Amino acid sequence: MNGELKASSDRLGRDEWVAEHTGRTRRDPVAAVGAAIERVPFALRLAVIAVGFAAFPLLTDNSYVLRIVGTVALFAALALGLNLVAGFAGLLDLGYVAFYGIGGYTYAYLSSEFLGIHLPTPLTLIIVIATGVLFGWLLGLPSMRLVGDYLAIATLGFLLVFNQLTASLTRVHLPWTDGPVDMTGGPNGIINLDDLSLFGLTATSIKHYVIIIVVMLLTVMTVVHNVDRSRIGRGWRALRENDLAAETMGMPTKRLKLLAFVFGSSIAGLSGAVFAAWQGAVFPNNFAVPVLITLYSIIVLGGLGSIPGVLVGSFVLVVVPELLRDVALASTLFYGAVVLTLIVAIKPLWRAGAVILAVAALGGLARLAAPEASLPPGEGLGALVSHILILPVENATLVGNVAFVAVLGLMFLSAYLTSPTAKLLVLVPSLWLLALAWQTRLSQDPSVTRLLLIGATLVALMNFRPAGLFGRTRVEVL
Amino acid sequence: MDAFLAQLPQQLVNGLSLGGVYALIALGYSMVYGVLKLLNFAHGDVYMVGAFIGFFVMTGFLDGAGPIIPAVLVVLLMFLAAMVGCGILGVGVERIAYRRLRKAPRIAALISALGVSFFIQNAVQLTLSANFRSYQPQLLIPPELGLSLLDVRISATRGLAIVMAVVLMFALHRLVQRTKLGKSMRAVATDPEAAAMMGIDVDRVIVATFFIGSALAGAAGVITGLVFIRVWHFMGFLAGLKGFVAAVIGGIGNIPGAMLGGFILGLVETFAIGFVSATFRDVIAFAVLILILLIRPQGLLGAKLPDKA
Amino acid sequence: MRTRLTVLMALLALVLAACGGEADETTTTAAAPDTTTAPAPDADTTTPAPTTTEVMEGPTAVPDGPITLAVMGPFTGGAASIGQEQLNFARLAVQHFNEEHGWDVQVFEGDTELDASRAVTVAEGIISDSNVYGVVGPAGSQEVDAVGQMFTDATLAFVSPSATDPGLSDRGFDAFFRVVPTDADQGPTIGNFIVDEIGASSVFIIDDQTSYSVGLADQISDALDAGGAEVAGRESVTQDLSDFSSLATVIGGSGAEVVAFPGQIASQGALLTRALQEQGIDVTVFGGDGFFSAEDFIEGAGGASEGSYVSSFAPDITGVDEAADVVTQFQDMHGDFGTFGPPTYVSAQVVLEAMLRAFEASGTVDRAGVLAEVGNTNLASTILGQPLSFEANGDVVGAQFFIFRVEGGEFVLAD
Repeated sequence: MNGELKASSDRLGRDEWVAEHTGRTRRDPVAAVGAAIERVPFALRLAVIAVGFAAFPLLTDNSYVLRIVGTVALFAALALGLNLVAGFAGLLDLGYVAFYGIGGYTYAYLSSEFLGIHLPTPLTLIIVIATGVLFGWLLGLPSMRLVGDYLAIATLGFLLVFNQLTASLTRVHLPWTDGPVDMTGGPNGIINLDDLSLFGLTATSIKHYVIIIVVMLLTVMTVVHNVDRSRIGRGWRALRENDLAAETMGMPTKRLKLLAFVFGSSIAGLSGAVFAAWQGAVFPNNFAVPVLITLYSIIVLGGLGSIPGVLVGSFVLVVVPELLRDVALASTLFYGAVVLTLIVAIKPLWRAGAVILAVAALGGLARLAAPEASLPPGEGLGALVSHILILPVENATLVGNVAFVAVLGLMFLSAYLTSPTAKLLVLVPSLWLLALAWQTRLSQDPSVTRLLLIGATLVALMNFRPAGLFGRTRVEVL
Repeated sequence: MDAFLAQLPQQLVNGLSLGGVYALIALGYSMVYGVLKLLNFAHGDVYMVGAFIGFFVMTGFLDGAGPIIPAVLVVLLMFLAAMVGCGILGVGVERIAYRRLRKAPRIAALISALGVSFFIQNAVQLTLSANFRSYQPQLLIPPELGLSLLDVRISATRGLAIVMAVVLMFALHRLVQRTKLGKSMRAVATDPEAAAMMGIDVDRVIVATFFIGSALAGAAGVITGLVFIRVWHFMGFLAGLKGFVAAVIGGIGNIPGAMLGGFILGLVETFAIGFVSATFRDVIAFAVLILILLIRPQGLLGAKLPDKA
Repeated sequence: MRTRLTVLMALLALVLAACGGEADETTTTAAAPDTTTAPAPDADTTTPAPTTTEVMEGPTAVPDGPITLAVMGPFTGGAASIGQEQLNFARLAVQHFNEEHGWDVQVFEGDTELDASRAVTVAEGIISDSNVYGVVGPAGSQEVDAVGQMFTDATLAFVSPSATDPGLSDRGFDAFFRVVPTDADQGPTIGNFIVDEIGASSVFIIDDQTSYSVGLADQISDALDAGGAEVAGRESVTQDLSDFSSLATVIGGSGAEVVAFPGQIASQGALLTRALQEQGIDVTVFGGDGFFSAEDFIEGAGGASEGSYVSSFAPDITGVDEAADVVTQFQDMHGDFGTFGPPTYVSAQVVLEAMLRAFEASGTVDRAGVLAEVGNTNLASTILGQPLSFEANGDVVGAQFFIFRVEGGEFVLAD
């Protein structure tokens, strides 16, 4: 409608649009924060992040918090590597997690009883990085021939093949051995890995690992930052915008692509090795598609090509799913998010308030209609909501399912309504049904609901912020 | 070698019926990609929903011993319900998750598609539970119905899978090549802005594309149920991936290509199990994919790629 | 600029700190009133009122403060059918325990998605939640492997309902128990039955690439070798494979008389029998305990699984008196179930009874006490129809397997 019209007029008056570009990003508070962060000297940023992360191992002994902090840092490091390939160079590499796995398995081979090899950590890490470079180069070779989605599917195939092989290479008949050989440990993985041991110190506790991972993250950030500023980084950006033009300008596009793959895979390999040591084992499921989805969500959520965006993205995508495990907290977050969305999305504030009141009124009517029936279960804020606006229910599961499907139907319907008043009118019963579905069904199955919410959040975020939180809206040349 | 020759005909039948399902999924994938250049990762989940719709229609018309109305009618109703239901679902997904992203970076649409895929999968698990459901085709189509040539056995359901895939492909091909709607689709695929200037309602064409593509996925879901029996909430993930692979092998965006890719993939997987090892099914399938792409980067029947981003 | 960034980081830190603290706070504030006012009006809609009043007769029967039982398993994703069944049985066990003893034990769902690294994070969360006094799970052997030392260090008892890798017994996980026998018990039972009772000389083996299935297939293979039967072929398939036609052709060509397929997913067994029947291949299918599901393996096969065998670590629980209530109640709520649910009920029962004994002995519930009591478990009977107690290494005492044959659409004891 309105947006569409604007978009097409943008195309006609492109110069004007470019001229407005800075002005438009300024008005956006989140992007302004991103831009402000970018203006801080890099060394200072690094120091702040280091202090921020280091605070945790110093202040808390709670190993759950530490584990999450470590995971945030690990995923941030991993996502930085992916950002280099996908965000800077624009190569849709869906096989990235395989390099993470190759790093993990390489570490496992060189530091366990599986092959009876126990190399010193520094040597192992060097070999891990070298392996990453080698495999990145090997997978990068086809990337010189394939473009876009063809590259995506080929690399995804590489990941699936890797998963399949690690899970099943347990009875391999090699020409030079007598019996079948177990090459990967199969689904039982490789266990009892050595701890990392650097500069004469051996990492034994979770705190040590958090510190090691943060140091790794800072190193990776420095490398990525400097590469981004270098000739290579500029070359990648040219490649991403238009590789034909880049080639015409005399850039060695093929070598640049290979270089991106190699950089990315060595970062992934290093992260994989540290992860393997931290877990003390490697299993095929550690390096499967869900990790890939998380990583892509991190870099897209944070904004492709943005380094601070990666940090925020991995913070959100690691911490929020953990928070959603707790039923009471999940309810609070859910209702909070709904109310917040209403306030942001419905422009005059009184209208948002009116909608919320109308929903409560509808709930009150429903309670009057059936005063005998029992209330749906609920904890914390959920219990409050239960009392204010929920239709009392007998057969909770069925009612919840029906309400859930009805909400989806109403959402679909309201997408086709043009008048804002009609939309608001549909919104009221939708919200009430949503609360009903939440209380009777969604909050009863937290594990499923968690993923449901993550899916919905990804869709919503992409629709309202396609460039991610800190993404620089690029001047698209088509 | 003897074992190979003895099994070859039967494995061909096995592979073609599996390929038929892949081809139908690939057709929908390819259509949407051709028009929108969007990798619709939720396509596999639409297919899963189709399989469930077919399942519930089937159980609705069965009373333990057999169908309560003529079996042909039940099968027809299953296809109809699944195709219409999935068509509507596909249109809804387009409206809610993709329409605003048409001009956004491609990767944003990709993530949105992943979000939809997560959502559908878990919505189905939430409402229908994670249990496996089994089609009961033997109550509709007698298992003994079918062809037996020497050692080769083609059951009626397998025959149906192969025939359905080919018929739907031809119907779709005709639609795209001969009708006005097809012409608009091709126009939008080539250049949406120019098409809009020519008076084509781009939104409507895209909605039609999603409807048809998703309906094909629904048909594929019902065929899967009839031939491979088992339906569950997670079945769409790998099937969608395989459909994508099939579409790419044939040349994504190309309708006969999707068909060809589907059958090739089905045959490769079947032969991998039959003559190499079931363990390496996916490994071999992807190795063939990569090999084909290295020789023909645009897929088997794909047009030479224009050098435009 | 600098201040803005530090403010942001501090904010993030705050949020994180808040989550750690707040999670406990909300559960305590929410749960505390429930425990003091015993009837707990809206905590459980299905609780019949009489049982709660009955419990109130017993004097100091309820510990103050919230008590949580953590359940770990793959509740979403590809293995969700197994995980959800386990979760629902665990919830049922908790509900029964609460009704019987008037406690208000809560269930925490730790979804591992069958990924060991997630299991580790979940385990940290469970350990740091001081309300958790026992764990049911994790489901997979590799997950037990990843979290075993952590739970042992935290003296938190964890009872797995489905980890069957024999190697876990020797890893020194003092807090680890399991209510199912290991592959080392089941494999030889199946192998010997195939050789001695069926009299097959050539067997085809399939596994489904899970640690459960691979381990069991290896054990069966060894038993067959020892018994003098030939292994005609060994294949491994993924759990999402639905098209068994081409594998059936291979099996038909291999000359095997029996296919041993110790998979986790009963519907895959049904698909295999259907594919064999479709091509007119006369081979007997032999499944492991994973296939002991009437709905998936018999009804799902539409008659094709007639004459097949499965093993089971329990006599058919639908025929066990102690299990009658549990079975009907579960079927009312969630429909039919397979082989992974009932042991989960027993696992939860073991932990809950241990909490009760620890509380009765000392007046409080603490982790070390519960762990000790789990080790002392000695149930005269369970819904599995057998007495249950643990060896020192956490394995069940007197593990025994039963072989069933599908006859007339039912599982019939074969030996």
